[in-house]
Parts: sequence; C-alpha cells; structure tokens
Amino acid sequence: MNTGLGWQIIRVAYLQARRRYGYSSFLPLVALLRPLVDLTLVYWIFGRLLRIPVSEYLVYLVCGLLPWIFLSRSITAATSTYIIDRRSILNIGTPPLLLPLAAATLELGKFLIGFSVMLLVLLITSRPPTALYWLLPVALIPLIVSAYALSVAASYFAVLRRGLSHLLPFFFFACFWFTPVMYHWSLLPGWAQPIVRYNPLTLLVSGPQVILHGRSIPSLELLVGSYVVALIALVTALALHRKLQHELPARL
Amino acid sequence: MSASAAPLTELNGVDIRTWTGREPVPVLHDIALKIYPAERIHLIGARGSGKTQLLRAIAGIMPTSRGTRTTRKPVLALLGGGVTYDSTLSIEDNIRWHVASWGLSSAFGTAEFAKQAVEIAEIRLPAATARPEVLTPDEQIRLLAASALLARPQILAIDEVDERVDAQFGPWIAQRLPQLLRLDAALLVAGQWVTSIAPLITRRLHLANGRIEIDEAATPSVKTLS
Repeated sequence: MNTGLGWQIIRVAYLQARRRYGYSSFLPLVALLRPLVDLTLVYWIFGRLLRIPVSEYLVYLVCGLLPWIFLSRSITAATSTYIIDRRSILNIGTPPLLLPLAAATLELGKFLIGFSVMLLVLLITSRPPTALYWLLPVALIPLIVSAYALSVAASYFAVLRRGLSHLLPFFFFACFWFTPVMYHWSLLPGWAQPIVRYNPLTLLVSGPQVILHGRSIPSLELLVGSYVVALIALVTALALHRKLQHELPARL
Repeated sequence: MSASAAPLTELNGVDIRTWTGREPVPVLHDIALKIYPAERIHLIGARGSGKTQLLRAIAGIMPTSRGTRTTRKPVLALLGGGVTYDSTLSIEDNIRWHVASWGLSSAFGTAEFAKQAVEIAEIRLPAATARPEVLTPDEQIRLLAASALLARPQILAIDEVDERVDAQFGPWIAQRLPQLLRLDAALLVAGQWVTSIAPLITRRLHLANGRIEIDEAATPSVKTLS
C-alpha cells in the first residue's frame, strides 16, 4: 500500500512541474529551451563580441552553464518549499523532506534532458565519443549530491531566516561572476586565479568542462576537491536535518 | 476499547511543544495514551488545550520532545482547521498530491481513484480538469475525507469536524464512516461539537492543563454530548 521514498519524490516532482508550468505543453518546452536562450545570448556577447580567447567557446560554455543552472536553480527552487507548502505539512502530514528533494529532482530532470541533448549534438557534430565520456558520471556525482544536499539545507535554513529565499538569487548572481563558466580562470590576473579556481562552485561545475571541452581527465586535485565539497554539503544537510526536523512543524 | 488487541498507537510519557519565535512553548506534558483498533475517539478541550497538536503527534506530523511513540501506519490526518488545495493544480492532481503526501502507492493516485473520491464526496465537477476553486469549502473537505477513506487508513484523524465548514460535512461523514472506515481502524476526531458523529463515539479524552484529564468510555448511539 505504501510507496518508497524515491517514487514518492518523483510523483511530487511531477506535480511541482505541473504547478510551475501549468497544463499547456508549451510551457515545459519553454522551460527546456530557456537554457538555450541563455546560452545563445552569452555566446554572442562573450564569444563573438568580446571574443573571450577560449577555443571552441560554445562547447566550453555549454559544459559549464548547464551544471551551473542546475545547481543554482535546484537550491533556489527548494528554498521556499517548506514555507509554500506549510499547510500541506501541518494539515495532511506531507513529509517535509519530500519537498526540497522533489524540487531538486525536477531540476535534475531538466538538467539531464538538456545535458543529453548537448552530448548528442557534440557527438553528431564535431566530437567522436572517447573513453573519457565514461568519466562523466564521476564528475557529475558531486554536482548532483551537492545540489540535493544544499537544497535540503537551504530549505531548513529558510525556515529560520525567512528572507533567505529573497537573498539567494542575488547570492547566485554574485557567485556566477566568480565561477569560470563564461571565461577560463587562466585569463584572470594572478592574484584572482586561486579565488576563482578553488571557489567550491568552480570545483563542482568544472569536471564536465574538463572532460567534454578539454578532452582530458580531471586532475586529482579537482576530483578530490569536488567530492570534498559534496561531502561538506551532505554533512551540513544531515546536521541541519537532524537538528531541525523535530522543530520544523512547530516553527512553521 | 479492546484491551486484548495490540494498540495501533502508543504514546508513553510524551511531551509536545510548539515554538513562539525562538522559544519552545510546552503544549502537552507526560501524555500516556494507547489507541486500539475499532476505537472511535473524541478529543474534547478548550481552544488551545492541545487537541490539534495531539492529533499531529499521533499522525507523526508533530515531533515529541520526550517519551516514546509507536504507531502502526498508515495514519491519515485531515487537520488544522483548513484543507490543503493548490489552486494551480486540477482537482485530480490535488488528490494525487494528497495521496503522494500520505506515502500511498500510485494505485491510489489514478484517475479512477479520483473519480471514486468525487463520487463518494457527492460532488459534481464541471470538467475532469476543474480547479479547486469551483468547490465550496465543504466540498473540499468532503473530497479530502473521501480520498482518505478510500485509502483505507489504519488510523484516521480529523480535526474540527463541525466547526470548520458548514453543517453539511457532519452528517455526510457520519453516514460515510460506518460504510468506508475499516472496522479495525481507529478514528480520532477533535472539536468542541461533534454532534453528527456522536452516535459512533466509543471513547472520550478530555484535555486540560496540558494533559489528558479524563479518559472515559462513551456509549455509542448517544445522540448528543453533554
């Protein structure tokens, strides 16, 4: 009679998608095309007008921007879930954790569709598949774990600090410029390079860039760094969950 | 109550608290309660006596700060003086949301399930994709209750039966409970007046001063509560 948590998350993610995009088939398509519009704009401005000196700039951009969009939108979307669905939690007993996990799952679905299309285009156009592509999951795991963990952490934190959901978009906007999604860190002056290179968000989004754009194995430094960031995010989320899960209904 | 059967829920020395700002506020202290199959329990108490919080604790929504709680699932709760419908979703998807929230399998979230719930709730929908705003508050709670009854819960907790919506809900649920609530399930209702379902009540719990002051058996078929 009861269902597993994984299936429950997918069903709620589907209903959250219905909530967000309504019942037309046009809006989900727009949601999937939105990153394409972002990509086109950024490519034309930074690749063509400003001529950022990165070879195959479009590929570089795609490999960094899609993970970035997934990470930032997962966390932003999950932040307000406890507040928005407080009546559902308190009145019919919706398990709170279900809500941020479903929000992150919805973003993961969109990311995987976009990323698969991008891979397909890469394979068809210029890039024959290499054995390196098998390393993609290794690079994506810390990104996905971090997105889920930070979504949970942010949703708990937003209950304690109600203004968080308004501040988070500004935070990600600022972080975006300190993460080498549109430029390569080597283009920065020497003093700024370590700041950008070891920025935790850089560590999470750089893996796919190195594999797909650089066609090389991510350095041990990068891999270890990304897994450490994911581990810290996971421990933070678990600690917040353990501390606040009991207080949450009363605090809502 | 059937003391020989294993309890569906058992609370031992349980404290329940809520929060005002950063400070925890105790609501109920040292609650010891066993709920057995087939019991029909009425929680009585003044406003703020902790009826809703106790129902939430039994349903596993409200955590306990002390003591132990064991509950046989599924416990379905319809609480809090208001129902939960999302106006951006169709009625059918709202039912799916409730079913997913209760952790029930997708078999309970099908279009057929929704159709059955609508029939039991005695609602006429203009279209299958209609939004919840076409429903009156009474119809909304009837539909939620119909979904809960169809899900065959082990424990059903309903808050403020007669107070929150117009008087139509009381007679409706009184008629449906004997038909649809499984015989070995327990029913808990809270509110000042539960005149409509008074004939079904087998046990009354009086809450006052943060504890259960009186725990008494009630005789079913009594028409009114004193």
